[in-house]
Amino acid sequence: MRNFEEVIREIKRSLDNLVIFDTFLNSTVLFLACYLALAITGMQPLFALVPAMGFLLASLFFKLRESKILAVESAYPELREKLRTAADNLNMHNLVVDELHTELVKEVKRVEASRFFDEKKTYVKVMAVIILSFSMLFLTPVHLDAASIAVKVGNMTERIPINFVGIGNERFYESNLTAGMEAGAVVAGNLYGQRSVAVLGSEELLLQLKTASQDLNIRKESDVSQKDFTENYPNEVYVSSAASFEENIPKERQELVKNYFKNLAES
Amino acid sequence: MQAYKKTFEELNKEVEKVIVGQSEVIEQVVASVLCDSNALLEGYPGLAKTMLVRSLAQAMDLRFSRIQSTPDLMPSDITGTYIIEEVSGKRQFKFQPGPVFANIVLADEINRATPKTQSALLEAMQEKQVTVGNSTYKLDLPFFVLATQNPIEQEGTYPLPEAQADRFLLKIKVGYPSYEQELEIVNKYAEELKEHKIKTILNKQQLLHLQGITRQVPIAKDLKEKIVKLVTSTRNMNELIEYGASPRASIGLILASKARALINGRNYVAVEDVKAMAYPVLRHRIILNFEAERKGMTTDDAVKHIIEGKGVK
Repeated sequence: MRNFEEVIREIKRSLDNLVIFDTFLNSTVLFLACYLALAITGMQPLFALVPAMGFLLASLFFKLRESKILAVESAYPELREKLRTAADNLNMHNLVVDELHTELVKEVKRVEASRFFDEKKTYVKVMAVIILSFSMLFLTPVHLDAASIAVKVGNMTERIPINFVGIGNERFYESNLTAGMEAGAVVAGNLYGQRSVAVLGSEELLLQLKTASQDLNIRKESDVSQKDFTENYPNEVYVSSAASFEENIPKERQELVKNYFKNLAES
Repeated sequence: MQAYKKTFEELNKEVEKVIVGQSEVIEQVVASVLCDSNALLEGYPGLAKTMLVRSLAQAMDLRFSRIQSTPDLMPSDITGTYIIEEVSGKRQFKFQPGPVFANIVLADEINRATPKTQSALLEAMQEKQVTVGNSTYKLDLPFFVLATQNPIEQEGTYPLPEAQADRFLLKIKVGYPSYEQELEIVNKYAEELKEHKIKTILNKQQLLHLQGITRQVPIAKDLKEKIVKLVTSTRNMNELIEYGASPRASIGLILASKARALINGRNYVAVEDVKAMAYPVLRHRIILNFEAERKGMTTDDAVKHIIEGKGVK
């Protein structure tokens, strides 16, 4: 039969685990919320670790120090004062205390960990984690600059007319950047990227791509026309080298070398 | 523990054959017996205080003796004295034990005895022994003194000094019975002369065992701290109390709470035990100041004020 000390240890361990889980969940929600807020405002999102870690450590410190026995007594009024008395006299052994411990070992079997687990709150927190995580996933690649949007959205008057032409035709998409367009607005599928790149100093470049023709007419096929190329090969080819590198090649042999190279060029 | 509870219920039932109502008084007297301590009973005449104690003594198979205190009562009348006895033609002194040589001694109207006589009884209470001349005689255990006091007719009396009153664990107030209870008393005692036999529920050995068990009842740490805070606050409450309770009160309150827990069949001390026992333990140990007396407050009011203030819930 389990003794009372083991029972108390088990109760404390179970409740500590619940506290740790709940605290980690709260810290995760806090971290994700701060991360998202910092990312949107353009600040370094990893700073979100500071409040999250601080909350985690403080919460763990205070919650783990709370009396688990009192928590059990609040949930189970029939154990009120009894459990605490037995826990305070854990090392005492006499007829009455032993009887109290034995009685409680049986009664504590009715204590369920689920009684201390707030399902509704945990569900809400898990949903918050999921929603925040997905929000981060969707918002991050879009480079949403919330500050700019907030200021500029009221001033935006014109939109970019975007003509997407099908692949295989001559024309790429054309875009007309007008003076009314403000930098920073998103143009979906713009080859040039952000409009602000197109601004050189205080000038705006108006670009228009010249369409290139890639027509291929098979009927115009013909043999290669013979072309005469003028020779610009010098009559005399000689290499002047340093005296130290001069070779004593006889005249008859020099002529041979000359003719060799001439034939090489002609071929 | 349920077996002990049943025993006390039977004890109560037996005593209630003779005493109508007063169950709280019986409980407190039994608590005092379990704590191996003495109690002071205060009540108007005719409230069956003597009968109650005698009945309890019978139910617990204890030797009972009664001392009626008067101003001319001598210490030797309580402790006993040497008498001259002639044996085989020879005269010798023989010690004749006094009424204090019993298990339960009822000292009626102790405030009527002189301080010298009171001190002889108090010595027996404290030391559980009696010194006569050069000899010391141990008293038979268990030994309890239940002293009574009359709250009226205080002229010519010698009120117990606080230092001596402090030696009594409890000061039990015996009140008037209710209308129905008085009707039952009248039916019981005014109609026919009938002797009510009381069965012995406990013997000496069992009582001594129960006294040991009482001290074994555990108490929670926070409750113990609350008790000590309660008693120490009686010394700091200058707006109501002139003199507060001593550390003896802290010990007494813890013991009395344990005894009450045992009587109720619990193997732990509950807050209700402390709240119930705080009044009999503290009421004779605190002295109210003039301001409190002027307002007509009693020591019970002061104790109630402290209990509620300290959040003993």
